[in-house]
Amino acid sequence: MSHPESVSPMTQMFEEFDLTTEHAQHFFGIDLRPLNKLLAQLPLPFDISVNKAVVVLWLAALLSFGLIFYAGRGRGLVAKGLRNAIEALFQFVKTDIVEDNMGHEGRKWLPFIGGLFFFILFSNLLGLIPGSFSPTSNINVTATLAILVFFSIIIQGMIKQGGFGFWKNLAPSGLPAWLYIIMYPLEFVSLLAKPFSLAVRLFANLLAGHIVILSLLSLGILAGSWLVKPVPVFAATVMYGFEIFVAFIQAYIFAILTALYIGTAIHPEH
Amino acid sequence: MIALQSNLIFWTIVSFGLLVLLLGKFGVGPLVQVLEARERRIRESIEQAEHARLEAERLLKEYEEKLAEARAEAQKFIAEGKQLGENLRAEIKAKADEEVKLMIAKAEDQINRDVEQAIKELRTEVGDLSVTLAAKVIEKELDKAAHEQLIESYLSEVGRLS
Amino acid sequence: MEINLAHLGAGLAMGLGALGPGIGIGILAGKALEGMARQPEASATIRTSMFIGLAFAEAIALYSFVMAILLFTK
Repeated sequence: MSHPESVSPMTQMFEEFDLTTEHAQHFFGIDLRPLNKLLAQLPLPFDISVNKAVVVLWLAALLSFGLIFYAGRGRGLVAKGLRNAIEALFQFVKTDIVEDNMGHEGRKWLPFIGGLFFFILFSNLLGLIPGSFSPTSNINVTATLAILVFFSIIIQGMIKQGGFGFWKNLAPSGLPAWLYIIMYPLEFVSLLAKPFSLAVRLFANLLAGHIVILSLLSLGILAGSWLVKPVPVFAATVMYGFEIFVAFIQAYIFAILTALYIGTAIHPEH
Repeated sequence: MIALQSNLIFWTIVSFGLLVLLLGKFGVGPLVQVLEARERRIRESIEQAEHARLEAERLLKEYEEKLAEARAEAQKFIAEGKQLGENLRAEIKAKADEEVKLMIAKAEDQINRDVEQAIKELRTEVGDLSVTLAAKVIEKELDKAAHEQLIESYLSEVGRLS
Repeated sequence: MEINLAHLGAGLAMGLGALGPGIGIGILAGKALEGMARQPEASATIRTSMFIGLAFAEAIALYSFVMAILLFTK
């Protein structure tokens, strides 16, 4: 890839996160272009071409389902190793995220929220493998998930409180009439802000983490002396550890906020 | 970089939708069952263990009570036995003492009687001898020397007899 | 070298945008620790609430981060 002189090294670096380049159509040496040629033949009004982010999405979905399915097959009282880890995570999602925030009625949302948690977690973690790509560091992916959550909130709210009741309950009752003129637009914006903040938080966190690591490593490349070079590499390693933590935290936050929002739609009095 | 990319949106919906559908159908149910079965089992085991512990405690208390009772009884028995033994010993000792005394007395008596008998017998014998001697003296008129010889012979005879 | 005002704006957006949430997260974590120290039995609830609050505070910094990227790649 050659760039004109005027393009700054930072902008050059951002190309790494651009999924429209030809470079993005390779995943660990697997050329995805033949597949894309095949997909382009389908008579669809929009582009469904595959790039490395899409492959990681598939892998994340496959891993999430595979591991939960595998843990569910387990027999015997004592779970060991991988099964134990999956069970611990799932138990955490079930009790600390779903049941604590949605009550017993939240049980039917467990596949959705558990799926969100594991899907985001594995997308985050798979993206940390060098040469891979975090689909969650792209706004399209996170916004899609957030919009799914947004519709879930509205549908659950309308089922639980009635088609009209849900919109009426947006603002607390018992206020003077003139206040509602201000409250309703405000509450409506706050409803819209929920998926927006969900999407931006997840994508920006992941993107920021990757940019920090990339910046530190570029600093290592830019450093003139071999005496200085290990310093940014060491810092990048530390950031890498922090990114693993962030991968868990962001999956947790996305899942718990979803549970909280849907739980509020089930029990509007809170 | 922040641009609409329909392929990502499409694949996210497809992957995530399929994931949720599959999880709802096959994934979550069995795992929840496994977790709940384990929870139930652990709770039951703990309850059982608690029950067993209480039972064991109760039994222990019972046994301890019984043991204390038995110990007290044994103590009592021992004391009784000791008392009995003491009494018996004293009794036996007293009896033995008495018997010994009695035996000694009897033996003394016997000895006395024997001595008396012997003296009596000797006396009778000596009397008889005297009578015989007198008869012999009377029968034979002896001289002084023969007289003395005769007495000597009779005395030696007496010494042989006694 | 040509001065690109968009780059300056990106830097300013990131720096100033991180200021508020930074203070906010500091206060949040401090108060949460205080609460946990005072009531260790409530740590689990406090930690959960802290992470949720953290997410909200952090989101504000991330908005400015997104604005910075938009300005930077302009």
